[in-house]
Amino acid sequence: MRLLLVEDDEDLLNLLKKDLEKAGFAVDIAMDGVEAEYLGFEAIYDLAILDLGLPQRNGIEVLKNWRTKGNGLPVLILTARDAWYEKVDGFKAGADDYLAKPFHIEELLMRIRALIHRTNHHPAGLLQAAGFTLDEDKQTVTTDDNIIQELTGIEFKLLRIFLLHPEKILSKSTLTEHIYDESSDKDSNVIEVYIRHLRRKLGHSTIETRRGQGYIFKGKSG
Amino acid sequence: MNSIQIKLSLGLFISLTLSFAYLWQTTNDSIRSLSEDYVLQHLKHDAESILNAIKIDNLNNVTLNLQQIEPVYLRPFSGQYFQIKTNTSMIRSRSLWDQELLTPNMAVGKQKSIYLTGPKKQALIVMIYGFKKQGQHFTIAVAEDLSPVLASQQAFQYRYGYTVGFLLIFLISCQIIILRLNFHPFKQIQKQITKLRQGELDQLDTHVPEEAIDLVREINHLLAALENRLQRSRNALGDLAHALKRPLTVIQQLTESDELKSQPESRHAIQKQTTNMQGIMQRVLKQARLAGDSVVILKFNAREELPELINVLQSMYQEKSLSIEYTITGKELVDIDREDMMELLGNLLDNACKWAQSRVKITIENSQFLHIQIEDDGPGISEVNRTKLIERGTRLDEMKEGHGLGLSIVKYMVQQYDGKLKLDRSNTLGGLTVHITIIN
Repeated sequence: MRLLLVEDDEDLLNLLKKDLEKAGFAVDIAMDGVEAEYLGFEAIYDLAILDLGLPQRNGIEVLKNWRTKGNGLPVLILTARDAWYEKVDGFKAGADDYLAKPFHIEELLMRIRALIHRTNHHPAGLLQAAGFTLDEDKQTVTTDDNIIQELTGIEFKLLRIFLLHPEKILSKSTLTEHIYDESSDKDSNVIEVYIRHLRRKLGHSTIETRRGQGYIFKGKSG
Repeated sequence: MNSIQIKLSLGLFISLTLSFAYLWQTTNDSIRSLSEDYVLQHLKHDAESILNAIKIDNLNNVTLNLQQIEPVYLRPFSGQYFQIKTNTSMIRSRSLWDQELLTPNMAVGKQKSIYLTGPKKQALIVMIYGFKKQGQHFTIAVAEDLSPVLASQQAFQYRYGYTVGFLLIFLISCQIIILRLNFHPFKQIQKQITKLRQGELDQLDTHVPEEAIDLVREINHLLAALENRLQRSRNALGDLAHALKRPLTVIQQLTESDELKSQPESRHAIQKQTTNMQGIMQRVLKQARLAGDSVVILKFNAREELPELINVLQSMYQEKSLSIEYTITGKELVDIDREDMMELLGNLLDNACKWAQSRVKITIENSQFLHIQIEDDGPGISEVNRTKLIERGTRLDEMKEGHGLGLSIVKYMVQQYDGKLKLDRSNTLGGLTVHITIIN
């Protein structure tokens, strides 16, 4: 999952980026409103974390511009402005969730996961699909026969995408886009290596290869 | 009594009444003395004729030549009388019949007028003269009945009294109408000020009489200043909150870092202090931001804004899939600042959603009173704890986090608006009910 983190405080930005990456997200950053608005239109993000007090263009305006131009990117507002009328105004502008600073990182992560689940029509809580249960906190997967498997960073990221979109063809470039941030070296051939690792842990038939198109997560039915 | 209108009317009433009373008195006196003078003049003339009619023969016998006397003196009780006294005899007019006028003797050349009650109780005016004719001393009294004069005088007095009374009422009514008309702008201003306070106006109309225009301008100026100050302090506080929360957020995030995880004691201390700071800041800022009962800049529109607020809460508590019902009766515009009302309802609804199983109910009744009722189907609060929550002060050091978070800010707000806050068990949903009543 790839997030757009919009925050103008450098210290907080760095801390947050580190925490989010540790939680298995690819994170791109923007430090002002104009850049944020531009990046938000790239259809590669699964969610944006948006501060409101931004230089050049304030967050509410950025959000309104996204929405009027039909950009449905899920947005979580993360701001020090915590009056109720500000929350109402934020949701009216098109926000999907609102968290007031200061906050606990666990709370933020919980809300990000819930929002991503919601946009992909999954219930909140543990991510369950096709006979697997993913613990996004511990980054482990549990199969139907109650065997818990540890996952490496990329494996976790890949499996999360598959479980959010079971039975759907996902191209290599789509997978790459949602796993790496813009500063990483994107070599789509590496994906094949990680797919192989996942097949080894979950069973060979769980992931099907469609030549020239990509991969389908079949799960236990596969 | 401190009404200019009443004072002016009363002053005018007293001065007019006194003037008219004085006028009435003087006019009456003048008319009386004029008519009496006229009668006296006439009597003097008659006295002279009577003196001429007196004959004294050689034996000093006094007789009267009736030919020279006006016939009215000869008709009994006609109202015109005379009486001639000498040292030895007395001649009375025939009109006197058997009555006598009790008059003093008058020295020669002297005269005097007196009032007497004459025959048939007639009110007489009597002129008495002292004469000397052919060596004899006479006192001649000539009298006339004043009753007809007095009667016409009284008729005049009544007429005059009616006229004066009518004029007095007319003038005072005119005055009251003039005062009303001229004080109307002040009533108008007062009405506008009431509207202003309720947020229906933001400035007073300056189309007022010259005497009031400075006052109106001053009020407008003050209003602008007040609104400005509120806006400015709200902005300043918002900025302060923003500015303070950033570093606080960073510090809090830092406590999660691996370097500090190896120092659990310091980490715990920092976390505790920053959480404390955060709580204090939040409450102070929220309290300071309240507009309170001073000026309503923008009213809360219940029918428009409550659904929006509910949307927000439903998004925030999405995983609970709560059913939030609401009923609004009465006026949709609430006489409370929009931001304050959002804060009040937001905090209460947040609480209710936090504890509710599946249902939250809001009832807003906005007529003479603003009555807000928020119920949930959560575990509720025991009666003892409800009392404790209500009794707990709203001062910072008295507030505690925990159950009923946000309630302290609600309590503070209700206090600012002179309202009442009551906690109860919900009869319909079984959880907590919060009642708030504020007089509009």
